[in-house]
Amino acid sequence: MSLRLFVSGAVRDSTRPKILAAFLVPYFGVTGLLATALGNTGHENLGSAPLFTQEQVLVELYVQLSFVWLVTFPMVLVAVLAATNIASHLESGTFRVLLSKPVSRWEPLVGAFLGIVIVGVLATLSGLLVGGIALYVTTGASALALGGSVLTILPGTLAYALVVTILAAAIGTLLAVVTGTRLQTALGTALVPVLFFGFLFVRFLPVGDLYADLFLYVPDVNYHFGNVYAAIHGALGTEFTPATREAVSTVSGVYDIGGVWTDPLLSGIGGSTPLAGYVPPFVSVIVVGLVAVAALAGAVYRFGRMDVP
Amino acid sequence: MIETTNLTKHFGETVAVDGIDLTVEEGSVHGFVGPNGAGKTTAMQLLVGLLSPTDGEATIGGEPAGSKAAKELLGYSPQELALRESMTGRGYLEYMGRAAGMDKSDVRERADELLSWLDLKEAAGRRVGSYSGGMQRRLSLAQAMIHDPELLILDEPTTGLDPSGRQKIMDALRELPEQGMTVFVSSHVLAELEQYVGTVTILRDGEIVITDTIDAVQQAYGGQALAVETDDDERVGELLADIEVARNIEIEDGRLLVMTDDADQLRERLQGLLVEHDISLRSMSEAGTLQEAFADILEEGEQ
Repeated sequence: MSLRLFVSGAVRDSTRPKILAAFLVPYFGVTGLLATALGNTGHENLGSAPLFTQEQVLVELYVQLSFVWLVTFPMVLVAVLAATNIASHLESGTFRVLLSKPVSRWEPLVGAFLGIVIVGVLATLSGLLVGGIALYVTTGASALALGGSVLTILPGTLAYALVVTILAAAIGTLLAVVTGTRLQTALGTALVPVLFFGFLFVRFLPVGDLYADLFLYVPDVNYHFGNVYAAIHGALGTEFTPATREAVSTVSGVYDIGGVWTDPLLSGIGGSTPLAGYVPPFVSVIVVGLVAVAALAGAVYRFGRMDVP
Repeated sequence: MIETTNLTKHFGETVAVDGIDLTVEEGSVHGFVGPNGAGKTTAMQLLVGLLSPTDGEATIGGEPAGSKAAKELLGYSPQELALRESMTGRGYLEYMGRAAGMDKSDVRERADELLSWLDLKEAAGRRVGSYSGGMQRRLSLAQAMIHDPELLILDEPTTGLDPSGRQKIMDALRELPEQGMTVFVSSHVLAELEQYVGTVTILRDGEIVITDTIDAVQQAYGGQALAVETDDDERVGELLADIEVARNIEIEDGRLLVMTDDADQLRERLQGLLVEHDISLRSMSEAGTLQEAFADILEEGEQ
């Protein structure tokens, strides 16, 4: 009973107009700009192309837009929510009053965590829908193509967003409990998307084999998230064409683009793109899952034993 | 209702609470007094279960402090207000009641009762952030009482309030024993505690100096005092300064408090002075002062 109360309290706290506006305005704004840029890069008259081509192009664009931006930016919202929903209550003492009531210590903490996850996933879902529509508008694709492209990979992308949001929320919860300060919680949690974007650019640097030689893929958040993205879509039965794999790899490094060979039947669209294979996708899934579970368990353990003066 | 045995709390090298053995009887109003840094707030937080003791133990109604069963028995209002300012007063009370496990209809009824009793009914629909300090204090008291606990632990419940705000809280606290509640209240405004506590514990440097009835503490440590109200308290205070049986003359809460070791002689001299200087006497009563006892105890400690 109390857990449900704390979840709804956290959702209410997280959906205050100021917080939502501060997040949604830049989120939708940048989504629109990116969709315009992607849609206007050689795909202006997509509506006149064959349906299969329209679907293929929309999938490629949507994969890139969603992986790089639509799912990743909401982690910043999650960082802010961890700061305002947990660290802030520790700083202001409202948890102190709450914990004087006959509740178990884990209940308000897990309630806040779940509230953050719910709001984070709903915010991402709104972005995924807006992003899909924005691409549809800017490319001029047909509505039929939208159904055969964006909507087919939406469930997998949403499932991936859920995993990423849970990870960020768990890290935020742990940081809030350990540091007890809003600033450190927000900055610490925001490191996840910062590392994601950072490694996205590291792979574009002319470092040759250094990436593999220095095992840079081990801390490469972007690569591991890409592996999780591919694994989840694979588990849900989404078949990526080689061209889609290439698009995924451009923003995550998951597939070995150099391994593309041309399938003559598909006139120029790659017939096979193997995994880059630094780390098998299931390992990345396990690592991400373990980090999330360990962070949340650590937060609950510590909160259950710490002094709340 | 409260029992502690060798209750101890260290923060690193600092000993905040040093092995206190405390008993607070059921149905009593027990004052907890000490200078800043004496360990009052830490001791209270140990009782509520917000802090874990370094050593010793505490029980609330026989249940280990911090356990769910113990927390069902108590309500706590901290010294620093920690209300959810974005909620309405009623919404906050209902939220806290639900957190305490009450069902919706019970919590609404109880919230209404408390809002009326604490004179907050008209402001119940307003955001807590817009409340005055006095209203927030009363709301904090209401949240502590929302689940009808047997014990109230109140940490400096009148801090930061003006005289009328203090009076409202004190009036409310006076009524609590009639409702069958035990109250454990800390304050450094000792003149207030005198008005409603029956027993008192004085804490210094984390240790209990004395715990007894308020009369016994006053007798053991303090002298007698007269509380006097006249047309011109300041002038009377100046005149009394020249009388050898009068000492520690203070104007507190609109009355003149004068300590003495011979109340009869002081009364006689004072009446003579008032007649001589044509000053009207409104009231005069004996008042043992905890403040004096407290000062003596602290002085002993320093020596």
